[in-house]
Amino acid sequence: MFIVVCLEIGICCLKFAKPTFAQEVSLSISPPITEITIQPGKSFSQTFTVKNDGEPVVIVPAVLPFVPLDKEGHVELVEDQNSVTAFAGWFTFDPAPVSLGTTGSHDYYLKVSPPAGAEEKDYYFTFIAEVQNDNNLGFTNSQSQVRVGANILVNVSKDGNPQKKASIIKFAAPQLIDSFTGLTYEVLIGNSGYSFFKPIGKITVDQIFGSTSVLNLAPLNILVGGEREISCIQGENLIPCKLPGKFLIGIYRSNLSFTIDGNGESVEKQIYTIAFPFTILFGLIIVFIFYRAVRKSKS
Amino acid sequence: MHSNLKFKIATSLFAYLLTALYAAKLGLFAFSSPVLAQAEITSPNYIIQMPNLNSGAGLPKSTNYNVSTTIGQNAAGLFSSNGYRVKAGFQYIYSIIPFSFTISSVSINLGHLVAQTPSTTTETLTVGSGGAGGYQVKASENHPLKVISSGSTIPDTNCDTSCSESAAGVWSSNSKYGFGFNMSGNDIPGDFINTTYYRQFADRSISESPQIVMSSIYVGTSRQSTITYKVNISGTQRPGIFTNTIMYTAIPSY
Repeated sequence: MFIVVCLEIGICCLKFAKPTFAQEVSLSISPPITEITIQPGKSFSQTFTVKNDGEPVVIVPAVLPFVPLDKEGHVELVEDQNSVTAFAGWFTFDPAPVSLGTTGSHDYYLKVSPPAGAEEKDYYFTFIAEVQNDNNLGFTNSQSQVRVGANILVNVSKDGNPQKKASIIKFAAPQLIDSFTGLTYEVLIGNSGYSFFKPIGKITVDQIFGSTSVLNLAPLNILVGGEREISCIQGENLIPCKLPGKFLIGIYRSNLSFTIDGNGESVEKQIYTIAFPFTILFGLIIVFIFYRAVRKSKS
Repeated sequence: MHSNLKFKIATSLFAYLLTALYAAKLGLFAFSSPVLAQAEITSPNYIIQMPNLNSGAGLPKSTNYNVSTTIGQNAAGLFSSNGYRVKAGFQYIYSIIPFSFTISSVSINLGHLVAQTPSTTTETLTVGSGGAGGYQVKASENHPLKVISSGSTIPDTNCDTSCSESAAGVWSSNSKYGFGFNMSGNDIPGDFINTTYYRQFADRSISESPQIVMSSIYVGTSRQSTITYKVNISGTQRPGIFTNTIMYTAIPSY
């Protein structure tokens, strides 16, 4: 009898135990960026593949305009209905919800069709895949909803050669450094033209009476009317623009030089930095003062 | 005199040794090491990708045109005949790598709430941006925790003294009530100084803009953060089942 009662209590506890909902959501989208130059009135179809590596989900697509959020290449989605509706006629895709099982994937065919009267300039969008879920779990909870996006940069141009114009907003490094602190450059490039572009170029560092080093700029997109901090690149890795080497000494002449998308005249700026072993000198001075003080006390 | 000479020698040796040790620590010996512009850099977070042409999904397709993908140079003839020119993926990454985002759990069970006894629970956010020069993840709530039927709410926390959706504050007092979150791990905002710092979620019902919860400008294959949700109620809180939805939007950099 006692055992039966315990079993019944146990079964009741299991029945009313809080349900556990691990439900990992894991989405990926490809390609992460698409850059299109297109004539007004023409059409182009891009395929976006959304893959699910988590629990089964239902996803719906959307295309939202964006504006640059900062100087680091991050986006700010524009989600007010008027802005979204303004471009409704530009995009054709199947908006129906799609069920994705674990490891399932779906190809979205997005047709981009700027109207014939579209103004020749840049337009920026993000293709979004949003997980649908409802919150009827019957207990106090906060539910997570996931959206992943892929950016689409569109330049509308009749001849395919929009005017592009770059300016060096900032190319700077300390003018005087200690030999052991390293030399790091700040590069900020602006776009005052009519189309996004990538700076293709390098920083060439000449050590006066010494060697020459080259830091390659990362070809990052700079949007119209905006500025972007440009890092350097090594292989496929983005790295800070920092001169390698643990000990620097002498005068360094640094020349920033780049072209717009690898074409046309180069844009350049030159700066100078002096590296001196201040810490060693300071250390020697301390030792000398110590030596003099001890000698004085002896005499 | 003899001891004075010994002292001078000892002091000189000391000065030399000090300089030599300092220089040796930094790898400098008798001669400066050459400056290598292309010194190899490795990181546990990055994988150096080998060039690989990806002919799978993601490349442009069209039933009406002969599709070509140009990389690098303009192609004036191609543009005038097709009416467009397309580049897919990042120019400096030779294979098209998907951008991915993972949340460890969709539903955050906040449990049976007891007055002045904070309830916390965590989940993990993971971003793979191997195909992008950076990324960001933004978060916002549709409304504060609310009983849908009655409209009764648990407000967003103001922490012990103050905090907002953009600035974290210390929340350690059990007599301070509300709902908020803390973060730890990779690429999180700098105002989450330790585990006692919390923020409110941006509330879309009062038109607050989504807040950045993870952000980077560099390529990374697996960037992970932990988000801790916390809720605390007063003794006068009306009972009910409180719910809301936190929307996470993950987008690569352009």
